[in-house]
Amino acid sequence: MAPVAPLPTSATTLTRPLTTVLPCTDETPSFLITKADKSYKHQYANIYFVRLRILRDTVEEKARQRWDGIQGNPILVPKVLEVEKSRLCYIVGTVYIDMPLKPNVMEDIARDNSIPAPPPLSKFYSPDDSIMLEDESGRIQLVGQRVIEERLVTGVIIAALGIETPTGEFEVVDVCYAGMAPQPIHNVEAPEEKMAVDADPQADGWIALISGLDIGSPSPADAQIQMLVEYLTGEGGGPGNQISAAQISRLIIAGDSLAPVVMAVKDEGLDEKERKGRRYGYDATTFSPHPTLNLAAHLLDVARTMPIHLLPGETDPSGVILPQQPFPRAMLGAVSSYGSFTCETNPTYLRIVSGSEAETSNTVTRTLLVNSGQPLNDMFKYVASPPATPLSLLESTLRWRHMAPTAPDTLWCHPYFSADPFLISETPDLYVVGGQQQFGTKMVVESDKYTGKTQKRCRIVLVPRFADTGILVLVNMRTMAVKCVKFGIKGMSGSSQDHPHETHADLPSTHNDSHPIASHPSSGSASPAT
Amino acid sequence: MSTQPVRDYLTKQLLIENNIVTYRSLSRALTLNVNAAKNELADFHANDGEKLAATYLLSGRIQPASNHSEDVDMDDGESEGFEAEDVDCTEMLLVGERELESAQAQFIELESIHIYSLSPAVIRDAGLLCTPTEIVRNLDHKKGAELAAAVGKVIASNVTVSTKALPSWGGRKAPPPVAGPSKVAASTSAVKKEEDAKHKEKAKPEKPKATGKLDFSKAKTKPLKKEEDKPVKPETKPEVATTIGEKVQAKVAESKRGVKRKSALASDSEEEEKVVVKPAKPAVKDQSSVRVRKGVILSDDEDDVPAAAAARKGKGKATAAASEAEKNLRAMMDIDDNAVTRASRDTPAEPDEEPDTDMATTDVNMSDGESKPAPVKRKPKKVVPIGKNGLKKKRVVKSKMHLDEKGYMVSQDYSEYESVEEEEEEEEPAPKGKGKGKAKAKVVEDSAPTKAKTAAKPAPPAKTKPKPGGSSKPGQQAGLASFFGKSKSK
Repeated sequence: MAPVAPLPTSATTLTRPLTTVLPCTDETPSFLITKADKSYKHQYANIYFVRLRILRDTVEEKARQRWDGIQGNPILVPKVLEVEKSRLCYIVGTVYIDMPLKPNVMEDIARDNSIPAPPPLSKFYSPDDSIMLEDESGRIQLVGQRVIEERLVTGVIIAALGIETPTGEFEVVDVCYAGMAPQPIHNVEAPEEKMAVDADPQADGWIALISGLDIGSPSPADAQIQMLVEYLTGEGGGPGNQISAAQISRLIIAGDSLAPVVMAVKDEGLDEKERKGRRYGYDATTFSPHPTLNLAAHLLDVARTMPIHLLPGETDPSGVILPQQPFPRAMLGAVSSYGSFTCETNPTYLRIVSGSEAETSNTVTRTLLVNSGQPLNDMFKYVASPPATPLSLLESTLRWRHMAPTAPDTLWCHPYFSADPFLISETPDLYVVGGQQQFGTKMVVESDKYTGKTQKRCRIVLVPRFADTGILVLVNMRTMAVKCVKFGIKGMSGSSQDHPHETHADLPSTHNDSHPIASHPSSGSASPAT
Repeated sequence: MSTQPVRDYLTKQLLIENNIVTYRSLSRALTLNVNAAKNELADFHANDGEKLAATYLLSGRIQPASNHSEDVDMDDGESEGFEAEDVDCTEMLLVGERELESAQAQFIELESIHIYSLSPAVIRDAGLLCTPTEIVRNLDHKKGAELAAAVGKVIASNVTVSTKALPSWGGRKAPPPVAGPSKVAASTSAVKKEEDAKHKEKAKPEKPKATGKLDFSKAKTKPLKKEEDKPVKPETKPEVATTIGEKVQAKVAESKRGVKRKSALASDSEEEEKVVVKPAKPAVKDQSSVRVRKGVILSDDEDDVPAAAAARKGKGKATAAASEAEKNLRAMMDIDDNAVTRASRDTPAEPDEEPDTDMATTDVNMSDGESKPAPVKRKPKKVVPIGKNGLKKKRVVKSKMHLDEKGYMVSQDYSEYESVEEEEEEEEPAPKGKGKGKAKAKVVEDSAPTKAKTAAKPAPPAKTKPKPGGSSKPGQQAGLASFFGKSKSK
């Protein structure tokens, strides 16, 4: 009856490789909003201004290198409105895309309030979009196939090479970005090292990345989360699984740990209030603390075995404006007493040293840039999705040196006055974006044409929503290799992906915010029949 | 193969209690390594529990979770242009017994397979497998690290439980003092603030008695209070003497009624404080040493300290329990009165009303300041003014001074029903002032003690009591002597 061979029970206890977190640097700043920044009175224009001021020089330099000596001998026109007709030149400015479908506050005001607002669009993109380049002097419209293919989004700083047409538009021949930000040398050496030796792969520290646990959703992935916890603590699976689990040195939760609160609309709400009198605190009939407790319990289970970094995300009970500030630890109960459990801001840099402290020769410092996916999801609304993928867009953000170019426009962010915190001033080694529909990863490499040898490498990883895909992503901190562990359930309901391959297939390429709420009931009810 | 305890446990859980048992709950319950627990489950399932439904956890390599990003061709000059990479993908798959065969087929390479759980019936909702988790968590919590090691958890050495307490949000221990607002009307904002601060400080140690102290502190300054609280009595007495002298001088200097009133108020507050404070005598003495207001009270303090409690009762309830101490006190008070009278004599000459009102306002502030600290006292004071509005009107004895036909200044005492409308701020103190006002007649000191006593009485029980005392006074107005006499007789 038992098709199962007994598992070997080894007496050897597994140990985890150690990693430590280094403090922030100027290039990898903290996203905490401090008292000095706490004012909300500033205009968002400052962010664009600062962004352009900081990136202009870099972009001009890159453009000069790129277009130096090409036919026509283009010149740099410092202001976009000063372009001369029929003279090949290049201009630098901020992209602004005028999109008819983009939410417009004027439409909000003009709308008939007796009719419920239409649901937010999953895409702003339309063929009618017009792309413009603006700087302090004004805007000029960019036209041409080249600029359309570029898949730009609002807020990016570019240099555009072209000629002004008789109609006053700017016909673009080529586009140049700032390119990837510099990367500290020690990080660049590591890849070579990886080529050389794979001496003790077991000693490599891995980082586990997870996103979108969606605890508290109407169709929870409880069993998968349970399996995830068991895997991470080194209990689940066979010895092989346990060994690989033991290599995980820390867990990063990239947002969306809690499902959005679904407010049951109650028509008799008023009456009830009158009847019950006024009660303070939450109403137990419409709000349950259970998801938070549940999350806290899972976190505690894992936190007993490894350090955790918890980022807030779009659906989490946190502010909507970026950078989202850390959860208050206390809300997570007992796990808050673990010093190795940290609540992070939503975009956050983490500098992690792997390798044990004892053998300092083997240490590798990795800079991680992690966010919960809002910037990418927002940018994705700007581009036509058949050609563009989240992965290509994410790669572009590295070349734009800006992780959230749409930030003040369609992505809400804090009104910084004197800084644009989303500029990428140092290329991270690992760029992690949570809250995605699909897993994806790519090593983005940029080599300097002129010096040739210095390469900038960045591993970009899209972490899919766990509740939808059951995927845990592991990244090797030394080699930057990636692997996935997928947690699935077959033959039982209670899983978002009873048929993993099907769900894969029907993962829509249209990147809308289809939450499992819609898809679950059908799959849930279908599964018992199979 | 199974050991007896395991067999017993599983039999009980599965066959008798019909619970779901996962390898984790088994390992926690019996402190087994998880792998051993998995084997035990398989063993039990094979030998004893054929009817039980099992779920299996399969793990192995599967088709890479490829990302369908084919369409990308980012051919920027520098980009390498390669597509998203395929990566190794391991799957952990939880299946019911019936699906086992088909599930195995979807793996490229099956690494391991083990029983995840046993249950009395086929599990259709995977969520049910989470039910034993509670047990697991409880045991994990109770047994801590040893259990974790025993079951085979892989624990990073840098996992630490920080010893520091939960974040600063816990800082709010004491509820904010509520007293502030009530007094606001009468007192100036500054006074309030001080009072509030004092309240906060004092509120924690002794609430009922604190009121008296608070008043005292208000009169002076907090630091003084604290310092003085602890000093020994001997020190206080000399101070008192000096203070008395000072007070007398002050009174002389300020020959105005207003001054007297103030002193009376101050004395009231002080006395009240003393009475209240009795339990903590040192504090009382401190107050006297502090010499908050005109010295009037000082003599009282010395006498009162011992008999304060008795005095309180006697006046408040009009009980006959006048102890010797009380008598002594009164004697002292009389003396004070005499001393005071000199100062008071001047007052008649002055225009009564205008200075009075000014002084009254000042007095009010002072009194408010003093009165506020103690929640109990406050209430009575507040209540009084409010009471006038709310409780219909209050009967108040007033004195008027006017020039008669012959050109003499005549003071008349009369009682009337007063509404609080005018000068609400001042009014709060007014009740006291008025009561004494007749007496104001110069007996400020005397009245002060009496008031203090009356005030002290009402404070604990009810707010309204003080008023009757005030009303009774009007009758006494005829003369200072009679006034004192009454108070003593009471």
